[in-house]
Amino acid sequence: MTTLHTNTALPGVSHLMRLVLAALIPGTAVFIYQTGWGGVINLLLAIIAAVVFEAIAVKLRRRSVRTSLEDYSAVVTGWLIALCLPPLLAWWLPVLAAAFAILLAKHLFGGLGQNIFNPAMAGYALLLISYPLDLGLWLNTPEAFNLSLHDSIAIVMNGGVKLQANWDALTGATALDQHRGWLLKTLDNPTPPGNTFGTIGAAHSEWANMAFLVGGIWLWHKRIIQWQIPLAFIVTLLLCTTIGNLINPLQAGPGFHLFGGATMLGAFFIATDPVSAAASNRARLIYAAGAGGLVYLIRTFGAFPDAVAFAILLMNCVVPALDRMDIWLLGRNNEAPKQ
Amino acid sequence: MDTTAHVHDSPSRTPPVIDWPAPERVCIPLRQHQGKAAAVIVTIGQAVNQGQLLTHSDNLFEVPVHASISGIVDTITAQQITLRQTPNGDAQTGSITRQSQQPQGTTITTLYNGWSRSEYLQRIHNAGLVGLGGSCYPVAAKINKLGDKPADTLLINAAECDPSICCDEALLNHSIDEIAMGICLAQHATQAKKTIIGIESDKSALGQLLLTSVLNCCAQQFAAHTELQVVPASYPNGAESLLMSHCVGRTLTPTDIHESQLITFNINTCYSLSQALILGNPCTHRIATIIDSQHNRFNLRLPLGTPISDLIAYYEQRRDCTIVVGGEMMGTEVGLDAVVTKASNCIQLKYVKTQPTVRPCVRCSLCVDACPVSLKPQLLLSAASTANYTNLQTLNLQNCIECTCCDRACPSHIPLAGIFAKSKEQMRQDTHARQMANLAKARYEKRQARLENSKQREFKKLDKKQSNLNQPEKAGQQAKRKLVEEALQRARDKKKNQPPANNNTSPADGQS
Repeated sequence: MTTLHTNTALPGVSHLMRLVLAALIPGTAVFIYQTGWGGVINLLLAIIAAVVFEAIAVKLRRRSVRTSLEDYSAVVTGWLIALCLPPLLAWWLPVLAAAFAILLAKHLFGGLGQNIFNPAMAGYALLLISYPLDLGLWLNTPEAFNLSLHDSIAIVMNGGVKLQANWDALTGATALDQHRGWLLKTLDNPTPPGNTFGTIGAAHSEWANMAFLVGGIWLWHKRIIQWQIPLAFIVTLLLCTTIGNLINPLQAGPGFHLFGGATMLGAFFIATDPVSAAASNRARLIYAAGAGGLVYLIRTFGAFPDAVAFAILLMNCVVPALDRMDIWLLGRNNEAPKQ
Repeated sequence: MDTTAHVHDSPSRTPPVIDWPAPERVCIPLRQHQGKAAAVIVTIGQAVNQGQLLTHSDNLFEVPVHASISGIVDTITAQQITLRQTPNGDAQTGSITRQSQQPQGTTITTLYNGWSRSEYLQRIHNAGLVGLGGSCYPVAAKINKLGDKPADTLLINAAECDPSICCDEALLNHSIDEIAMGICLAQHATQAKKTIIGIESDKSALGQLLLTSVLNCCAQQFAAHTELQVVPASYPNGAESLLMSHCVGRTLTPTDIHESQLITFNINTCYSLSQALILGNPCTHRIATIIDSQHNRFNLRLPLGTPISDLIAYYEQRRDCTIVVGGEMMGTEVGLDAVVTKASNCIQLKYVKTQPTVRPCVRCSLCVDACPVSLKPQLLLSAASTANYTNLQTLNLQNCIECTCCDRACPSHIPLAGIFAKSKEQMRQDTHARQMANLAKARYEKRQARLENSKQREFKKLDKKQSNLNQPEKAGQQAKRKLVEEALQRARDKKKNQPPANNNTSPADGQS
């Protein structure tokens, strides 16, 4: 219980957001290591665009620009969008995602605290649906990582890697893509493709997932997030994948799912966004478990290779109902002793 | 619970109680309690002595106020009475002579055994006693609420209500025996079946002393049921409902306490009780903690109505400071013209600090973790912002003790407790308005039913008449008619036999 003397020592929203950004650093470092200059450019583009659109939106709504930029929420949104995107995209794709996230998903709903959907995931989902080809191109050859800054900028400004002559040689499907493709035509190709599995999870994304897990645990240790959402998310995914793997051994096991795609990023940094998550601990467990289950379903049976964005957006829709359920249950508890 | 984080100092470091000299002028607010002001019974220019009644009322909720200095009534307004000291005159010296600490003459037990509850109520009411812990609920009304029955539990609140306040502790150091006698009086007044002294763990030694002192002077029937309860020293354990919950051993809401035979007195109230009932000193002073802008603390015994500007002049170099009354957590800012009242348990002087920017709620639920009475401030806020009284009721807004723990936890710096206080008031008004509307509706419906009923009766009467006319005549009626006709016949015969003297009128009469 608090016995603090002054308000100045208390953590404000901007302090919380800065801690979230700090917790993203290990994962971001791995991300940049794996994507080279392309990842850096994505990060800069998305963050700058998010901040600029935030300023525009706040200006249009006649609020204090300084106050809302100071809370770092726009930076977090841009940063999260960039972490989802493959490198060497056309420059306007990260910008479009940031614009959609800030202007439509956030400020059209009333700004910070009022948005129903996680802005970063809404922006990413827009790109995923509208530009599936661009978003499927992850660099996978060693030459791709060694692109110079100059070359990277040139590619980004000229429509991205898709328009390059040799894009097919540079890029390849992600582990989740391969897994899905393999699941859909199991009869043709009964053996798993060679580089789908890494040491513990999906190839390429396992180290990023580990780094996000570390950052997430630190965030929990700092009491910025509670354990309910990440744990329920991960445990549900673990249970679903284990059962799925036992019933149908061709489905990838829990290791692949937990350390593949954006699982850890989603569990610790996206699903835990307090604004779009449920309010009470009870409802949060349901919310996160639902998201975890949806990730499994969409990854295994759905049309998109990675599912964290859709799973979280879908559960965001359920949050108002969960909050209402909570009040309803509370009302019933209040009445119970009287009867 | 965290006990180390508590701000109270060890007893030796608690500043002693110092008497503040009577000021030149005092402005005594007529309303220093929960309820209406009593009627003024002094006139402008009248000389009054310290302790003299300025207002009077027989209603227990209209607590009278007394002159806190001897002087002349300067002005009277609807809100306050101003007294000023006379420049010369020996009888009206400004300094307050404290009465001897041990009562002389009457032995206490005979004193309080002799009074009935109504006598207690009258004396307490006329002494202007209100809850001095900060609530200012009229003490007599509080006891009267028990009805004729004894109180189940009498809780003596010796826990500070705010981390920055130390006046309760100073009072315990200063006059523990008087508090003990006040407790004995409270036991008699309430006929408490059980008495619990609730104190925080960092003052448990003082609590033991107080318990011993109470056991020394209280009556046999109460001594067996008096005990000490030590609660963890963390805010807001001094709040009535929380302390009561701790001591009774089950969770109680403010409504529960209001509706039960549980009663709480602050030790400051007990002290004033003994002062008033044994020595006959009404409530003219109160002990308050003063915190200056350098965070130094002082415990002063202040005459009620002392302008706080006097304190500023004494403790501060600059006059433009902000005054916060009520403590670090629950305090509210007051204007520079504020005076010391019965509610001023803590007066804090500070220079204006930049207020943190209030941002929208990000639903982080840190406030939910901070709430000591297990409410959900985050959901309450959204219900309050849409004035959704059903949800506010479901979320138990009425249980909020306004301790401001959620304010402290909120990263968006939303003044939650203040919003809840307003919402509570609005909810009360809304409930009242709805009750009134329901009453009016019931009245209207009853009236409509009544009107409808009488109409129906009228119709029935008419129907009956109608049906009577249409009905074939009964035997009795036929006989009657026959008699009438016979009588008429006789009359006609009589007329015929008479000489036709009044020929003009009689046929007409006969016809009519």
